Amino acid sequence: MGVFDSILYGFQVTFQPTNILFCAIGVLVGTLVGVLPGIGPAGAMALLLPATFRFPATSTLIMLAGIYYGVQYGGSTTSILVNIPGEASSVITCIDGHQMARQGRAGPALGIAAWGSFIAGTIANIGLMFVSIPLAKAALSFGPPEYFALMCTGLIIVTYLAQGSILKAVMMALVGIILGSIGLDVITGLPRFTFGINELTDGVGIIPLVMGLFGISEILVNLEESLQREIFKARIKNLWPSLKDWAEAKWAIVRGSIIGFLLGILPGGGAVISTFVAYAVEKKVAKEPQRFGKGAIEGVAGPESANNAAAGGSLIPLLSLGIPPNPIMAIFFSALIIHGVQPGPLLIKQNPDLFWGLIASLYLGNALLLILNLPLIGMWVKVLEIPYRILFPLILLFCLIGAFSMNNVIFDLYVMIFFGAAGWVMRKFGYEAAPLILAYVLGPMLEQALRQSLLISQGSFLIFVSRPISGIALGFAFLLLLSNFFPYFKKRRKEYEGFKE
Amino acid sequence: MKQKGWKAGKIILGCGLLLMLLPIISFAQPYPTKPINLIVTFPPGGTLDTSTRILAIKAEKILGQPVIVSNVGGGAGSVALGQVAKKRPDGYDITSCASTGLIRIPQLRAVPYSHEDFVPIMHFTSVQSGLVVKSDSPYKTLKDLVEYARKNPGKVNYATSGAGSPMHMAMEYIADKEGIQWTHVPYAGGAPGLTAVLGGHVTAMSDSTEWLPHVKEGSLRLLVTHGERRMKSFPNVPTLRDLGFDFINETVFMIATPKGTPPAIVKKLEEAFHKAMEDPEFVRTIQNLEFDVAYRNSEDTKKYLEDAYNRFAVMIKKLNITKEPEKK
Amino acid sequence: MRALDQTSSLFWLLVSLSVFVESIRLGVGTPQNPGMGFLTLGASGILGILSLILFLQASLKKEKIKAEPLFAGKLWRRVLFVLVLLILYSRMMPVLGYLISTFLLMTGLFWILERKRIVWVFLSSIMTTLITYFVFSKWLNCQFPDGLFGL
Repeated sequence: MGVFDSILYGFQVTFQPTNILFCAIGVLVGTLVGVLPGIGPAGAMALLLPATFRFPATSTLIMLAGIYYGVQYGGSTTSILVNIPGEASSVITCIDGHQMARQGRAGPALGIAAWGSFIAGTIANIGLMFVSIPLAKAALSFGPPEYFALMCTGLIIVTYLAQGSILKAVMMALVGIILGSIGLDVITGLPRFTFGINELTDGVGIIPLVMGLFGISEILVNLEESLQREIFKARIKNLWPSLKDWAEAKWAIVRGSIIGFLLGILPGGGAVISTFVAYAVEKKVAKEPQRFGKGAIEGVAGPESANNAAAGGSLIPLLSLGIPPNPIMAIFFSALIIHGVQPGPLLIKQNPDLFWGLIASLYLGNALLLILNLPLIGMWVKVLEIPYRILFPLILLFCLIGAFSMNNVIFDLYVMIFFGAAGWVMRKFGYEAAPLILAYVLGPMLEQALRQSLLISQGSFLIFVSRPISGIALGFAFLLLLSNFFPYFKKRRKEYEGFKE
Repeated sequence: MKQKGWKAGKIILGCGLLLMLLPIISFAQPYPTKPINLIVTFPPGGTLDTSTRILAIKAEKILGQPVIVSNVGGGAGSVALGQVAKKRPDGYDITSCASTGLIRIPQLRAVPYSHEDFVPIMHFTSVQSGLVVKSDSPYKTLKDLVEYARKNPGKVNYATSGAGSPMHMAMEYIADKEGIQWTHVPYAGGAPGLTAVLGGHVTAMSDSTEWLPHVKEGSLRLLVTHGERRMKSFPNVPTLRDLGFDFINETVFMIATPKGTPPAIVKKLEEAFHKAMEDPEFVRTIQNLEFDVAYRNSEDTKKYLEDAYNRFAVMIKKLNITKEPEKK
Repeated sequence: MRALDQTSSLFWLLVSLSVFVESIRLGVGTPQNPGMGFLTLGASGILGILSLILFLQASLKKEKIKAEPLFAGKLWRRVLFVLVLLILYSRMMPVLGYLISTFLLMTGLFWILERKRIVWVFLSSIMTTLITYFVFSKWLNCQFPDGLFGL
């Protein structure tokens, strides 16, 4: 059976009325969950799971997948409108997305995010169909040394995100690494930096951290100003991305999709890394990099495409290897098992209806999401017209509910309030939160990869350079690091020459 | 305006007082008279959560009151257990946990409770785990691997999903008994470890049943399992006991309640949950997860935990498992 | 910015020093076999050096324009009030339950900017509390604490 016969067969499966219905329910719930910070995708899927026992495995999976990428679609909405990323993979969207909203360009920002997600979803889907098996095999060659090299590259790229002082951005990244090391050390299984607090053994939660540093601190800063003038004083100009917007964003979408898809395959932080790699790439290739941070549309299009493509990419390890690369895929995994389907290399052969049905449903779901989301943009933009005195208590409440309902632990609320206050002070002193959060995500992975590599090599550092992938990646990272200093040397040289004259 | 607010306050206060009195009024009725809160000690979606939710749906029909399942995640179950330990022991706040949180975690690091703060109601599942290698490796049996490690000290390394886990202890137990050395490479969870062994980055993996599809499909070889009995899907694979190692992975999923719960209530819960376990949907789910449906009543589970606790204490000392230093 | 950078760099220096000390206590290990404190030792060490650089940079820079005051003239009392409210809310939610504590919180928050329309404040607080309760607790199955009164 060729790929095209297979996908036709898949569409036959998907276009059964029940499956269309399940797909629609999935994307609807996903969008809702993505927009409301109150509940994460993992929680929503797990709660719906017992209700699906009666239905066939294919329908269940189609619905769960719908929730998953629906959340990625909806996640950008709060980032753009109110500067609250629902999860780590939409932190980057805040930087330029929220600036666009402040300039009255929330419509184009949301529009390009939706279209970018749609295009990225489609590209990822095509990749999933044709190259999933070789790519999955390639992902297996990523052992601890390769991860170490990848994380090093990632951490160096973090410094590209600095809007202001690079020195301060690097300092924030270091603070992020320290924050990330709070909790259980994976290698010894012992707690560190927990101050004896049992709730901290799993570390500082990413949701309360992100919501505190971005959402809460944003509100505090706004409250401090006299609210006689409204926050979003700029008139909303247009609802859709203009032709000029499209011209600026089209290649960002394509690049973001490819980056997201490839990095999404890697277990662990693939989706998060892909968003800021995409952002850094856009900033590097842009003619006027200084526009970034002030509402550049590529800064929304690239990362938003990347995280949606990563959602597609992360299905690959699950479907072709039976390895769930993230907690959400772990729920997919148990859903399959409960239905008596064994995820793994044999899945495509043994359950073709499930595999191809799921893939066909991704096309359907992406189209449904676009149809559902484009009209919603008009409504979201109206949210900004609500006076801030009414809006801010609601945002605060949503943040509180969101931070609480991840683990149902009150302690997470304190964490969020603490980082809200910290973020407020940090802004006053000119420190940025984005490098901190990214390093917080990458730090623990870097450390584990380093220590695992050295355990495997019995303490020999050759392991990092003798393996081709890690060697090349580390070399690349080194060059990146050097390139950070080029402008500095150039400047010095100019000064020197100026002095000579 | 202010008066209005005051009035509302009075009404709320009155209602509150009335509600507080309710339990006293309805004291004469037999337990349970109101919904029972069941806290799962892991986040939603995992194996413990899934099996507990099915069990709860069945149990609430038998008990005649809703069983409200909620999740409190964190610290391998210790965050939730710390909360439940402080609840009133009236049978309305119970927990579904892995025995890990009661017997292992308190011995490895400081937690705000001990295993004696809980009365087990019953245990319903025993967890399976085992040791796998890549199928294109030359090791056909555990003995092959042990012999290779003996000849090449330090060459064999194995992944697990955590230091101090039974899967880690099983490997160190073998090493101790055979007088060999192999290197432990801990990973954050089963999936990364699985990737490592499939990619050939580590020699072997000792973990719970994440490896199952790959063993069935033939890319990994199962050398030994850690359970009390052989696995139904792999009747030819020996257990550690079969090979003469006195070690089993004793992790069970169980329902427990805070210490001091009246014995009559414990009895009632025990009966209800035992009956719920017979439901075919529950049995099928556990089998799909490749675990064993295993039951012990309150009394036996208590003894079982006590023994496991002591055996673990001996094992930590013997195998030099690192634990958190005592606070001065 | 000069004074600000000086203050903040000293703060980070303090943080890095304490993390540094704790990392040593946790055990650094060797480069061949890094221990629990290895990465944090490195991170805090570099953080310390960078904060020193920042301090020197800020001190050497000649600044003629007087820096904008941090708090004076701004409504920082409002921020403090919100923070206290949030902490109280987290403290009281397990005791009072979601409904009562959320109502109180929302009343406080709406009141900040709408001091004159008390009735409006009460009504909208009740509305938001009830709507979020139904959406999150009943519909999305979030598990809020019940509190003393079982509400």
